[in-house]
Amino acid sequence: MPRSPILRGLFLTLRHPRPLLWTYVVSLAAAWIASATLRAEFAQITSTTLAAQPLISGFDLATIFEAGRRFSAGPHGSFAVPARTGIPVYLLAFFLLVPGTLLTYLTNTPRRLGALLQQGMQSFWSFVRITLLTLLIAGPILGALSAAQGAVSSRIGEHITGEPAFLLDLVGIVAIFVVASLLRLYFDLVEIHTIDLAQTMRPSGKPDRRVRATLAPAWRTFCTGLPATALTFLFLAVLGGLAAYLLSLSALRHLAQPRVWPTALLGQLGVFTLIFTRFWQRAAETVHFRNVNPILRRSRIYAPANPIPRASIEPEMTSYGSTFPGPFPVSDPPSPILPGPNSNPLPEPGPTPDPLPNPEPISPSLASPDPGVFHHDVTPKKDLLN
Amino acid sequence: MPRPVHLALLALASSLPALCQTATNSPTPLSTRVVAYSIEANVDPDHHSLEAIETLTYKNLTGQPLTTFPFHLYLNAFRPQSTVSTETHFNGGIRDNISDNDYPGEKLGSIEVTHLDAVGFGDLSLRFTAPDDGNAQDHTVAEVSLPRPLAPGDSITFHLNFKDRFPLSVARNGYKRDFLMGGQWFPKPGVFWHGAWNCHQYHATTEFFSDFATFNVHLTLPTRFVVGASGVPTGDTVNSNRTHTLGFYAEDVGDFAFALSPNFTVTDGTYLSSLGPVKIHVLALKAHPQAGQRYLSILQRTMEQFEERYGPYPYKIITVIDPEPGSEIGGMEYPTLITGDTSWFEPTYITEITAEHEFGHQYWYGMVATNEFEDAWLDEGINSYTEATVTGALLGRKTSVLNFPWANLSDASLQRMQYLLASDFDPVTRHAWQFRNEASYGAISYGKSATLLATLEGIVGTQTMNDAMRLWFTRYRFTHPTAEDFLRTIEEAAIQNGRATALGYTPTSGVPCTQLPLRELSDLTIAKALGDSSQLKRTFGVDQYHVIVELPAGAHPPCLPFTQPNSDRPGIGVAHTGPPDDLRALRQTMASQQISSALKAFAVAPTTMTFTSTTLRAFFNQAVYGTQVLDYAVDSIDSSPVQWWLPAESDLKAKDKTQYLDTVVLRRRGDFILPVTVEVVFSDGSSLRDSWDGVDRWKKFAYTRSGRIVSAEIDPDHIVPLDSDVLNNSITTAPNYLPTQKLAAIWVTLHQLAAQLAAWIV
Ligand SMILES: [Zn+2]
Repeated sequence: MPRSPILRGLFLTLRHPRPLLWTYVVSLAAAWIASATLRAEFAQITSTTLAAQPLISGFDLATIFEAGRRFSAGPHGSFAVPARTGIPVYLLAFFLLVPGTLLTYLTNTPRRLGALLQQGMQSFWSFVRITLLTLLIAGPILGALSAAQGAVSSRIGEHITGEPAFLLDLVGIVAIFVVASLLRLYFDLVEIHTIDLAQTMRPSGKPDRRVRATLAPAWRTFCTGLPATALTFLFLAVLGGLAAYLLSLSALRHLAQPRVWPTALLGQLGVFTLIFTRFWQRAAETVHFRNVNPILRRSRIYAPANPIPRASIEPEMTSYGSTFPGPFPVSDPPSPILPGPNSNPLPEPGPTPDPLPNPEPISPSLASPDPGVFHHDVTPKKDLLN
Repeated sequence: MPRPVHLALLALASSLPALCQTATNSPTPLSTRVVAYSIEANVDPDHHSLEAIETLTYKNLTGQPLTTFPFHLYLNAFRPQSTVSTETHFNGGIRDNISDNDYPGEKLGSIEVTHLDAVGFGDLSLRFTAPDDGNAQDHTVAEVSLPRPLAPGDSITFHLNFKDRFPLSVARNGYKRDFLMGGQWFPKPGVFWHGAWNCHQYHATTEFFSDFATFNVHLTLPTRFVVGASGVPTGDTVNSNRTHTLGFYAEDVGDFAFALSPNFTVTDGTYLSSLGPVKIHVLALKAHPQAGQRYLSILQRTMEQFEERYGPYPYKIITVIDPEPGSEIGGMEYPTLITGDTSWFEPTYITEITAEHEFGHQYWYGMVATNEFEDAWLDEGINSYTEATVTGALLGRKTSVLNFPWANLSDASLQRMQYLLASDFDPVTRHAWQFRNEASYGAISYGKSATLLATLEGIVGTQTMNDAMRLWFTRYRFTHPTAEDFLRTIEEAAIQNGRATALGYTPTSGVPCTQLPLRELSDLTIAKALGDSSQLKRTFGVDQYHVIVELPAGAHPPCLPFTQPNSDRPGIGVAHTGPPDDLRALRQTMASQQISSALKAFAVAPTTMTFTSTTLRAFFNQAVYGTQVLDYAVDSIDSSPVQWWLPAESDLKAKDKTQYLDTVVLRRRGDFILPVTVEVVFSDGSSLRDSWDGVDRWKKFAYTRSGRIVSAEIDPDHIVPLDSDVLNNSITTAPNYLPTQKLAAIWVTLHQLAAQLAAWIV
């Protein structure tokens, strides 16, 4: 099995499609629900008038403008207004789905929606902190770069025009995109480290959700083999963006037809590709994380202030290590602190510190991964999750 | 560098202007040339400035002695104190929006007259005036007073030395990178019009107005610059200091502009008009490699359209300037020189539309030289209307702006969309600087004017409108007509085509008919006579379609085309008031001499009668002079069994026999009144059209039919684009949700893409 993050990432993404599919479903549902009033109002304006004919046999922008005028007199005022609720809803869902996704990829263990959401809720504030940190760091950097790019662009614009000026501007924009991608990659790794760290307990008995403790390890992971990781990230970002662009464009190209399904289908394909490549990126990053931080070393990477006594959770290690799928270093000695995926991957933050192993029976060890077994074995854990 | 032979020829050419026409394809002058300019200018493109000596000879054709001369000094508008800057700051400007609280130094411009004298009048001085708003700091108009009056018919020759400083491109003027547009760059006298000087200040939304003139201009500038200018080139002399002097000559034009850039590439072509060849001289930027051919192609096709529709282009050249991107110079008209507007990537027809529009101004502003300050709609509005017509013919009626496989947009729709942005603040006839703001100026002068003329075309018919536009051009080219001249031209064409009816006649001398000493019609006023033709016949035995009137002594010669002079009884006029078919018949009979004897038999002399009003006035009063908004709607449709008390028939056969009371209620939602046509389609496949005068607030049509109403539509031929809401013009009982589904598909996809993009923060 290849250890290359991009192929392993693809493998993981395909093997655990639930997070991706749920994200896509939420994306579609959020947009569809957000557009409900818009659709109703637009239907009221256009469905019973013969003046909408240019939108049936073609796609006349003037008719859209006319309907838009009527629409603007309505409660929304603008086509964009429903998006003000739809996008935040999606972002919230994304916040809730990403942590579980990362854990799924990290552990190569499928999770149902409930498990995904629970993980999301547990890691919610960690991710909010990471997002704030991302904005705090990326904002000034990208802001400064954009300002610099604007200044350079206007300097270029003083002398050069036309296509060469556009291409030079594009170089600047690509540079900003690369920096933004690197920042995203780093914070993606911070997120992975955070999820990983959260599998360990603090002396208080609560899962370790310290974001700051992950920054340095994430930096080390980021720096290790950076060119390859960055190229993978950029390749997937460009692949997703390009696919979404081309598919949306061909969706538009079908607008003039007297049917809607080609437009809808191609548009959704574009959206799905974009989400798919983002999850692929996440999975590839997880693989990279794994490659850089084999289980053996992960106990030390965060250097917890008060290491949790190893003996107390020793029994769990075997199962974790043994259930590890093939491509990962099966020979790695089990982690001293990580709980097994089938024991209690989502430790409940409770008031009572519980360093003791979960009394639940250990799942059978497998020599090689068997998704079917995983599926059937994990489902009954509802009692733990709900 | 030109070859010596060329130079000799050009030198010869430059000496020709005095002898015959060199810049037009007409053997004789086309206009009454009031001014003759001769300007020698040294242009310094690096410092965006020039120094010039202008010799200006003004011929006093005003019929009265003149003691003052106002001059436009347009470049002084580019100062924070000017009226243009103030108006732009508070209300927006058409080519700039200085909303910040500072005035950038590079946008400063000025024109300074350093010396002024007049031959025989000695040294003179200019005094700034502000005829429109009294802003003493405006400095865009200055007046000179002569020590003694200039007698009617006499000429005066002014010598002016002046310095220009061009601003960073603002309001169609100035520089951008190494490109320089010299527009409105020399002192130019106002127009003596309707008994007074007409010399308005420069305003944020106004354009220009000037007399017809000849221009003999020499520009000296560094050799690396390629220059385009109004008129025909007359010479290119290389000087010792790496400069060259370029000569240009223009005649029968009101203005002179030039543009220069080291980055121009030349694309030349020819259009063969019925008057002679016209050179299309395109100076496109190297950064726009496609632009040269695109401009050339659309201009050739546009000129063909204009010649066919309105009349030939008489000048020998049209120069197209492709201005620097990001400048505020794109899309501007000067006589025989226009600026285009394009980009290195331009997949729409905006490039073509702009070129067409600016070329159209050669007719509507250049030749039919209306007052752009006071009647912006006569140049921009008429031009936008012909733009939609011509681009529709050339680029597709529904695709003249966008012709993508997935979407389309027409120029006529674009005009209508602009009209809808601010439809009811100002009438189209408002002076350009008196609009509520720039947005209203744009919406009304361009969008509403074009849309109302398109509506008028729907009312009077395309043929009538074509006739009217052709008449407007051929009758008023090289004059300064007014809005009323235009409206009366349309009325005249409409009457001749039977698409409008005259509501009264008056002598063209302007004397009210009630003041006429009527001899033959002693007991009748003209109005009465027109109102009761049978009485005329009884009294005078004349054909009921003729009116005999006496005219006051010294009345104007005949104006109606079908009348002939009669030396026996001068001062007697005849005017036709019959229906159009009779008018045509009358004209045919006229040609065959019979009517001429008939006229004599009735002792009818040349007429000078013209209509006082027509049935089109109601439309003009609302659409042109008024701010009324037009909006008729189908309020409701209903189909109920006539025998409503009977139980509903379940069996199909019985259902077929059911008689329905089909009702359509129309509603007038706006304050604009216009007759309405409605088309009703029934489920039995039949349809009918009904009409309503549109006066009341609502109107109900009821029909008893065996079918239910499927749809009812106001303006079924879509000839009233002035209706501000076309979506309420119809109701159908067969709803179609495809538009909603299409919009939803795009909206949902875009929403998802945007949301996913936003998710990059997580
Ligand atoms: Zn224009």
